[in-house]
Amino acid sequence: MRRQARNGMMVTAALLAAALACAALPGANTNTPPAPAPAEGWLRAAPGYAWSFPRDHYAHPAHRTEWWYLTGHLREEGAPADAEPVAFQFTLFRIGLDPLAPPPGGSTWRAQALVMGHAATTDPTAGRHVFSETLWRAAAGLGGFGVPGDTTLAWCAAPPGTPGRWSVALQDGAFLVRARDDQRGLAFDLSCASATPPVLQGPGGFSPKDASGQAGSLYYSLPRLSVTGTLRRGDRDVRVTGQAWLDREVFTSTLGASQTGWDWVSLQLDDGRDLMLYRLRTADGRVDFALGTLAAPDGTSRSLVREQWSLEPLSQWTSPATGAPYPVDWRLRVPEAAIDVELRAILPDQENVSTRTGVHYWEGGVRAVTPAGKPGAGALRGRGFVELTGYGAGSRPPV
Amino acid sequence: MISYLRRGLAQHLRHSRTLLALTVLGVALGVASVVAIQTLNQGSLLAFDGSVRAISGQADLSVTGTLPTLPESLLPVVLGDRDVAGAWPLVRANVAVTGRPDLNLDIIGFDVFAPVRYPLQDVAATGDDAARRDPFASLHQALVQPGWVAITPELAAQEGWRVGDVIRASSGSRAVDLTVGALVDFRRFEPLAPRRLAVMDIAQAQELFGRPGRIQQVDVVLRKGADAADAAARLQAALGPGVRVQTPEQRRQDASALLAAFRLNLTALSLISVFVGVFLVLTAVQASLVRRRREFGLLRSLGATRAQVMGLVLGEAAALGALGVALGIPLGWLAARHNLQAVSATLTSIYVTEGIDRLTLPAPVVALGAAVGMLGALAGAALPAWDLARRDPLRLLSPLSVHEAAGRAAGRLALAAGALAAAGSLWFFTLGREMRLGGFLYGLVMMLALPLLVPLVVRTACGWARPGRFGPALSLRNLQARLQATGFAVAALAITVSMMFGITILVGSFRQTLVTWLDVTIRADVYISSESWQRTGNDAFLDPALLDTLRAWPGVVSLEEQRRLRVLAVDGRPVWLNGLRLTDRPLPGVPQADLAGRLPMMAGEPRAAVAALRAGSVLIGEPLARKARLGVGDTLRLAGPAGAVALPIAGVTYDYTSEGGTAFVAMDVLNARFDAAPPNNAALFLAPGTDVERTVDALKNALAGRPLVIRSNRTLRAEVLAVFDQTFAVTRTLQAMALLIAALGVSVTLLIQAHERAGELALLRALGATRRQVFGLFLGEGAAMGALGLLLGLGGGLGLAALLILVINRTWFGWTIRPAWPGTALAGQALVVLAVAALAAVYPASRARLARPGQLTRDDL
Repeated sequence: MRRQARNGMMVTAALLAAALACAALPGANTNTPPAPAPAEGWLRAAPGYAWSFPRDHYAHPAHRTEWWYLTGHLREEGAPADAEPVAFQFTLFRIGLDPLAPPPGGSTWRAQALVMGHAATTDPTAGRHVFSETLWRAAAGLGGFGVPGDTTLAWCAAPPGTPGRWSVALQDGAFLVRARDDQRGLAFDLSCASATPPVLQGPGGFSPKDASGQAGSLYYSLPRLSVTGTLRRGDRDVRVTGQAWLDREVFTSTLGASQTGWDWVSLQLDDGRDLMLYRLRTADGRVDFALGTLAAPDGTSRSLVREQWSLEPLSQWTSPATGAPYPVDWRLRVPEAAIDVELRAILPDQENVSTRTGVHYWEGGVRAVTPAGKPGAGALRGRGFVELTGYGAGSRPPV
Repeated sequence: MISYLRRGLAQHLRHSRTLLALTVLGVALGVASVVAIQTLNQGSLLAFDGSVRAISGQADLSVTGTLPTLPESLLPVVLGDRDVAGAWPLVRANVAVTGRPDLNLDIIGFDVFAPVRYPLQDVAATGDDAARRDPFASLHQALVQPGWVAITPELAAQEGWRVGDVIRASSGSRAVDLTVGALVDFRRFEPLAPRRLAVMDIAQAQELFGRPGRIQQVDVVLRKGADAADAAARLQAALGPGVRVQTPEQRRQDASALLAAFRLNLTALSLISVFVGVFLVLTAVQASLVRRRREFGLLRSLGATRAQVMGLVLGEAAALGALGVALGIPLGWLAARHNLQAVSATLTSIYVTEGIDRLTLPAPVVALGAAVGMLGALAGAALPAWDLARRDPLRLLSPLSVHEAAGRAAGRLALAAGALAAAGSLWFFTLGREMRLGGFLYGLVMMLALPLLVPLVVRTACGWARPGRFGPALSLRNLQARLQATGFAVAALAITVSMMFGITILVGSFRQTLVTWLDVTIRADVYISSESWQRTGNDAFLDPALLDTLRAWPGVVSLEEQRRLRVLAVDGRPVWLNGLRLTDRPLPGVPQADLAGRLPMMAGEPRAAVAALRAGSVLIGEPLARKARLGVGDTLRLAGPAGAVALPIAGVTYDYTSEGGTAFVAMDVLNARFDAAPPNNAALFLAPGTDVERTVDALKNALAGRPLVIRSNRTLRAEVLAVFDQTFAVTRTLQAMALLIAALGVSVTLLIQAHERAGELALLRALGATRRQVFGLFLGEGAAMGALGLLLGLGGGLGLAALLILVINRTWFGWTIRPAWPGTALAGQALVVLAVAALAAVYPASRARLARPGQLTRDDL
């Protein structure tokens, strides 16, 4: 029976993979099943996209995949200044199933897309990382996406066992995010406002994912959002304030054939600058492609090519749940911007294990500190998030 | 003694092959009837179980509606409950496969993204090249390819379907092309999963076969450690009265309760044949012992103890019983398979949607069959064995003492019969009538009393025979002289005939009642329904555009819409609620269109009833009235989508469409208070003078290719009666089996006499009797046994019929059956019984005619 259940699980995961299927070619060195060729009719992300806000905060149903990705650090109101903040992540994914809109009058279950939600909090004081997920059709009262003019940008039903919805909405210029999972003791309801306009990642907001410059995503960020709201700590909801980072990526295909995962860093430095870096890895651990963006406090930004920065792992943590080895502490150098910091995970175990899709990845809050051996070693220089995908067997993200 | 038993039995086998074969066959037939019926009985429940386990085996709770469908908007409410770890909707439809009159698919529309894990097979395993290259592309196809469906490997093999093949299926008036996209092997979850299960994505299932916004079920998984009863109660409260939240076990119990009446009927029928079977064993053992009494007398004289003799007799009976069991179990299995289709059709048309499409032979049924066979054989031997054991060895050595004893006891046995019958009647008319099983028990007691009358009847009937010369009178006198041996055969025959006549009278009366009822109710000229309705009685609809076409058809003056919806009474009893479209004014020249003229009222007045229907009242069928103890002026409480709906009862009608419950309301009431939907059936009234059959032909031509069943009044009636006859087909098989067993009894008895009376026959031959005369003598004895069995059976049959019609039928089905006398059928059966008895005598008679005068010994003179 157990084996049957697992086989059934594989089917579910495979189906999801098929639905997600973006990368047309089979992963040469992965355990992921070969994905089908991309369905006809999806628009590919390409350079020269004409951005317009707030329109582009809403869904892009002509592209196959996109996400609203919020990460940040929250401090309980009235807590002492040296209290460690709680890190949170909230993501809603739109996963296109069919580029054609459902026929009118058909079943309410006919869906153009899935909506997948991931939410996590990491409380370093309690030493606890909580992850919750949802996966629904964007249909039948279980999920959906707003169109320009609506308040809601994206929403879905909360996970089973919890009433209500998970949602990201736009109201009076602020992003309202709401997630709750009663069975796991996770809940937040936050308002995130940005004082600066979006930072376009990559040239013109097209973020290439390989050297050819053809594959890539439409990508922008709001790197410094001021947050107020409530957060569940233990069995009570407390008022919190803090800072968050919103990433929006829209694409039809990203990972190249030989790419198995990526390392991604966002960093809010105390001096007001914001840094985003990513690099794509191949199965042998080699970096296939890398790029970054440094934004000044006023919102102006410039790209950082691969040669302008370095990221070296300092220590590794192996997940007891999945056996995946994650480099959780890093040395980050951007010499020409006078950035040289160590990124220290606020908790080693910040792994998200998705039982619905079979995918696992590390998404965790980090403190940026002055490296050891330097004057003022260990001093806090900023806070950020690190995302590590494709570590361990069979964990190539199905994108 | 054991070795004597072994050698004795071996010798016995060699010398009396035919006799033993017949005895073993008798046991085998008794065992077979039990096994066949019980296998089908189990099959009916296992079919439901298998289906539930295959589809909802992963669920802790299932949410279903009191009506067949639920609004899908309930799903988020279920998902929001604190103990729910997962919940997924199911759309279900029983669809007909076009061109395959016996094949339905039980479609399960599920959300392919829900955390339910159906065993969809990697279609690469099917060898399809495209699938091998890209095993998961076809699963994505489930969403985007119109009509994508996964079927079971067994069905694919049975029908020769491969991935990529197109199946034409229909639900209501809608035909759909399905494409086999993958296989789904439910046997990995549940060995008894029906092969008719087919899986598709919920969106497609809902669009093709369902209704927007409606689902059939929500399956729920609870978080670890949650209390299922608590969660069920909370969900029930949150979801309101229109739904039922049940564990799979509760659903099984519900189905079990629903099927109880059906299963008990079958069991009761099989008990009758077991009863006859035990009688045969008794006859055979008795006969065998009578033949061998000298041997036992000798054994006793040589010092064998009573216990040893008794052990010997019982040991032999056990050996014969074991042989009979070994033969009877496979025979019963074959009989069950032979009757599968008929029983399954009865099940799906009356009780549950899950028909039986496979049978297993469960160990308990095998054990039961073996127990019946062995106990029957031992019980059959016990009395004669005891009788033999207690007797004086000397008496055993003298030929006719046993028969004389039986003759002397005839009066006492008859008195005992009277006492038993009187006690049974007293019990039944004071206490037993109130018990559900009372009628059956009473019948059993009376059937036990009947054989006790046999010696007296045989003695009296044969007593006036004055054999002056060779002829029937001598045959009768011989019967009387060997009363104990012939008595058993006559009794077995009497019981069989009672059963045959009783059931024939019941079925004949029922059929006549049905014909009369059809005359009143089936008055429209043309009836239109769909293939899926016809086969599965599902709630599939007729397209409103089709109804418009029919209304505008030349010659049609009125179209009556009919809809049947399965609802639940507040007490959980299932009720078929029929919507009637009430017309405002009578149609000139078409008086039969007037509903009041078509209501077969049992209580209430038709005109008043129609007026009351219009005002929101309900008419109920007789079975519902009897079972729920409701009548005119009472209130029928049904579970509506938003709580109990109380409907005043304006009348009770005779109704034979369902033994469950049937009720009739105005179509507007059905739509407004229960579930608004198009009709399932339509009836056309034609203008006077229109040729009905020609209209039917024209409609069939015009609507060719649509999955419709179009029938004239005449055809519909014929089909209703055909369904009726099919329902009772099992009874005929059992009747035939019982008759065969009884005939074997006659054969065995006479065969023994042919052995036993070798001396007498030799004497007759020596005195000048021809072989032909000896043959005639035995044939006459067979016919006489047949006649006596018939005489007794006629009385028993009348009693049994009265019991079946007036008591058992009303208790179990709730139908009024007007007694009728199916004279032709009974006369035919009487002739069959006589012929079978005479035929059964042919072989023994042919053995007897071989007697030679030279076999005469001094003893015989």
